[in-house]
Amino acid sequence: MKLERELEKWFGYPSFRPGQEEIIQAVMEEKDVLAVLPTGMGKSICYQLPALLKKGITIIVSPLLSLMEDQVQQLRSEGIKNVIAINSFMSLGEREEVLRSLSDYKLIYISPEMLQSEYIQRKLKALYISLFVVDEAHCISQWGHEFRSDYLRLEAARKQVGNPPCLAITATATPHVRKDICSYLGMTEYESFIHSVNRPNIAITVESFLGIDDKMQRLFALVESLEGPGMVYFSSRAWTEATARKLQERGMKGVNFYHGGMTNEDRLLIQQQFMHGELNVICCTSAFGMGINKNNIRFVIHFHYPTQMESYVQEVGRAGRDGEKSIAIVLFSEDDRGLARLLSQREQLSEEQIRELLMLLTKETHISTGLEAKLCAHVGCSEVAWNNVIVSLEEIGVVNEGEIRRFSIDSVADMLTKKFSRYHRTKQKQLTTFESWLHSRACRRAGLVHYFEEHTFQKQLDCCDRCGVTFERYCTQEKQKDRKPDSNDLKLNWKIELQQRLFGESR
Amino acid sequence: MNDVIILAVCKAFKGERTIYGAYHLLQGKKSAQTIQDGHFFSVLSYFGLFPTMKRNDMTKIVKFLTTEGYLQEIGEDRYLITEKGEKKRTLAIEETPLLLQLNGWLYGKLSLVFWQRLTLWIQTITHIQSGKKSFIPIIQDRFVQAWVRHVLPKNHQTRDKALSNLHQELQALLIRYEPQYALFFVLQLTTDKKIGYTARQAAHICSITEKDAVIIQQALLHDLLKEIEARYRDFPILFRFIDQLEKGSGWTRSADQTSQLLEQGLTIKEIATIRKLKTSTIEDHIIELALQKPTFPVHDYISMELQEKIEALIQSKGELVKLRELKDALGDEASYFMIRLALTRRKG
Repeated sequence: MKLERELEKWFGYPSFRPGQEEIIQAVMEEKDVLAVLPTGMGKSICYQLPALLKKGITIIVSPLLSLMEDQVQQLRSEGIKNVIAINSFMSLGEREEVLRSLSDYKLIYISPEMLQSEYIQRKLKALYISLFVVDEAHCISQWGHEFRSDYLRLEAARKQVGNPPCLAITATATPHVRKDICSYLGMTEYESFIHSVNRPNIAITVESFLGIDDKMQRLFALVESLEGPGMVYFSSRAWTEATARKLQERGMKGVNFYHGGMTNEDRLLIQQQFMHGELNVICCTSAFGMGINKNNIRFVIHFHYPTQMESYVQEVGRAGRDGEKSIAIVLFSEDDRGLARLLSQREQLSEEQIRELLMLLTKETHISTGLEAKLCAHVGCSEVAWNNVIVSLEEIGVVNEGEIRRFSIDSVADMLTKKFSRYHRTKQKQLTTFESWLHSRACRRAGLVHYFEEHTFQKQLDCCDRCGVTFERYCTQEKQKDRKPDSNDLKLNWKIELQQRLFGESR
Repeated sequence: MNDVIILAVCKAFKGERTIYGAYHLLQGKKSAQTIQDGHFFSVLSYFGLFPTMKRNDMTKIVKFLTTEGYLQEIGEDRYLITEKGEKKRTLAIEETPLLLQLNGWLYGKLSLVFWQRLTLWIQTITHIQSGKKSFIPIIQDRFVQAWVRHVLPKNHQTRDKALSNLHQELQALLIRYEPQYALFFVLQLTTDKKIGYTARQAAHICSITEKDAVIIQQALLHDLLKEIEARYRDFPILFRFIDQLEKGSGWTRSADQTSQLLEQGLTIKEIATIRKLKTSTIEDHIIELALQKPTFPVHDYISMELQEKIEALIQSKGELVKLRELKDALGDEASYFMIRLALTRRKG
């Protein structure tokens, strides 16, 4: 089979991007595969194409609802209709209907928690599953930046559905995380395709400021002079809204904000506006980005820096997917240190919190989502921390398939406290590693590549602020300052606007 | 605007219900108590306007309104509107008369489905008509998607006609509003030419305060729906978006079960025993059913004479009379349940 011809037939691309073909080849040969492919290199094709070509059904485990929905919509809009996403947001009736007709589908996206359901496993077992894909596979590792405890149960689920070949795929994974992926998925003999995290078309710079005001002024200047579209990352929802507002008030057009606190409908509209070029700059939290399939993002600015290198690489990787030159800028000020510590502490639990949580757990018999919400709110425990607790309790058999057994608070608290302090130290180390990278005098690209334990990369022009970047090359030609504050909009007439939206200018 | 609506509810409650009663109403809690209160105090139009509101938000806003002198605390969690508050309320309504069109009870649920169907229909048909088959639907709800797929005309010519009819219907509807509101509505529509604005974005352009965007949107939709229903012959396309949808918020499931048992001829006591509920709960259900069904036989529970006597009492004591005053005046002759039942049959 000529894979390239199939690629063109199904997706209309004339050729593969670097890295894709080898992975697809191995998957077609029924091997277990570990693939680390940087963002922007077309991860999803690596399982979508085999899924269409192989006999039987492909299951894709994906952690994010929006990501699943996006991919399903994307495929449907390309004319590939036999794809479905099963997640907890479907109504019961809807889910029933889908489960009855599962064999009609070729690609089934499913969330890890749905895959735990015995009922669904039974339904899947009756089918011929020919490929088991774990997307964002780094979520399986507690040392990664997006640990999801339900990923740990994937090996069992895979066995349940007939032990099909597995493709574990992610954009960022250190060797440590890669080892976790393979061991937790039960992959002993596998082929691995590890691509460099280095993205030569993205220049990497860090700028330092004494205070927040200077930094804000610099952000204004950057956003007004850099060629867009671009994204600016903040650590909180309030910051995204306030900054977007300030930029609008300065007369910037096409600026808005995006964060997890908005309604689904609003998020979708903002996403689409950005995709269609109606918005040029998005002020966002890390909630934005996953599954955003925009090729021409020219800059990614971190107004607040993330708490570890993995997150940074992932967020920056959203720039320049088209291969054109793009720039990543961290704006650092000393005040940010406190904020970063706070963020990283959200994942922690103190000994008192642990004891309180365990005390409450002794009164319960079952773990449920309702209980989770209640206990988390009561103890002040984040989702990540809760996940860590549950995983630990499962490891020692206190929690078994959702059932809570009797246990001694003292000894379990002791164990958890030790575990959390170890976890805390790791997180702390990751944060300080990232901060020392921010302050390092050495080449940024070298630091980044070394973090992922790669040792060679090609020297290049416009590498980083340490090696030198010709900043002007990333600025736009047109004078942004000429833009008047929404002057066109003030003249809008609803009748004309309605006419134009429905029928276009000409009529 | 949210604070004005809270003032309006407090005014209607006259301190006889707590602010958390108001919170349940605004949040759209479908309990018998909330629905009855909504009816008695004529505030069902505010039902479910703030579905995402938290109890804590209510506490904060009321605290603010009290320190500003718009509300006055008269008991635990009970407040009266002050003269200053009443001024604020009337001023807000004078400035935005559209607020009077809010009708959460009748149109809350309906307007959401209407809006989703309408916007997805427009997005879909404009794309197809310009030959663009691939787009990401702005409404993800699969039932709405299935509905749009089902009603969309099957050939190019009929689609063309449907689109231009819709254009005319929308024009005829929107012309009834101030241009800023019409524009606010139009800017939120997604077509193949342009992605719609969020309500907040559109508000920004139409000189509507962002905080008010959601409530203005609801008032606008509720009013549109009322008009479409009243003149459904003039709006065949738009009427289709709500045709055969259940209007109103429906009664609670529990009241529904009580209703079935009543129809089998069981008494309140018997139903309470069978369902293992308090008789007062069953009475709540009966009040709810009486509110919902104009044909509900209230005289199975209260004599015509007593009903007339209660009505006369209200006439003499004025509309502001409290439930307790009625009960005191009637003594053992009437229970609270009977008085409340009588009130469901007052002509508003």
